Amino acid sequence: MRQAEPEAIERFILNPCEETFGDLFRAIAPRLIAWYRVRGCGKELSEDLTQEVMLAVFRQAGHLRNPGLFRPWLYRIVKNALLQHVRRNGRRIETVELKSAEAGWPAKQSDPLLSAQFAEWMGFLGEDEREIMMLRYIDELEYHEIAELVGLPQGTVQWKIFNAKKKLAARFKPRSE
Amino acid sequence: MQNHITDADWLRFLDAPGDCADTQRVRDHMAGCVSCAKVLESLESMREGLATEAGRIRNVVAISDSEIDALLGRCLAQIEARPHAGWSVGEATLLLRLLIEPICGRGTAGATIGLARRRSLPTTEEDLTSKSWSIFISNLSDAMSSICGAAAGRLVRRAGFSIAVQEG
Repeated sequence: MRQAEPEAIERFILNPCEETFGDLFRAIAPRLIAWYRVRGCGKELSEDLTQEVMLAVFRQAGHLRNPGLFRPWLYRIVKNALLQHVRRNGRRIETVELKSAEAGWPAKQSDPLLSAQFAEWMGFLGEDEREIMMLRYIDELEYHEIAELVGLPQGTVQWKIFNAKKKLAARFKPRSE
Repeated sequence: MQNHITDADWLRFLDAPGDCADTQRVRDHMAGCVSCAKVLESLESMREGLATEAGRIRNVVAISDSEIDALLGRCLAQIEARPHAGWSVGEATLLLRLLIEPICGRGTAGATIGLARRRSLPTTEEDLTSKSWSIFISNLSDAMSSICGAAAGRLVRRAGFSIAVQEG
């Protein structure tokens, strides 16, 4: 059974070793793979990038003392890994383009995921709103974690999410189940 | 004229309906205002829709425990195959000293590093280790901020935390 995420984070920060890393990996790697997949990376690339991120987490864990800051720190590494990958591969990469990667949204609508209604809604929003909404709903980050990650005050993040919802509510009607 | 619910009221009400001091006022208003009741209905419907769709997407990209275990195995193999080649504490401190000397001068750099080191060590320890490195960087950054300004403090913090320090 996968260990609860907050508990795994705390145990790893207090005692970064292979055992606690294993628990942390099982708790958060699926989320990271989902982060990359939703942003247009293929399954293999998502797994490679997740592995890269988790290696960085293992090696840099000594710098982090506050478990509350772990997730914003982690997602910064996650985002940077994707940007680095896009820059490293330049024009060769087909799944993600740099501008879209910076905005946290895939340029090509080839992934079957993107046919979801969610993609239509996100496409309606501006880049900064979309990024914040993805962090809130797909990645399930708290307001304060999003604020830390995107470098905005928490109140601004709450406003942006509210305004985005208002904009979407005025334009779309969610399909009933 | 009817005073409809403002965006600020909506924000407070939707985020924490139980805790909001104005909750009752909002509820009272909605009881008699069809347009605000419709706004609430559409906002809540959108919030539920977003949560449902996001959950569906997460399910589509979910991977099995066995796949995660296989990935973890590969990751651990990489950790063992490529032990981290970091800086020793002494090398890292020297690097930081070289960084701050042009900013505050040689004497001040040495004194500031000495002060930050003393503040970062328990009385039982004499030397910095990789475990006390983070505290040392925070102390050095604070000291540099007070001596040379916030920008110097930030520079030290960024540089210090970018250096991978290991024992030895």
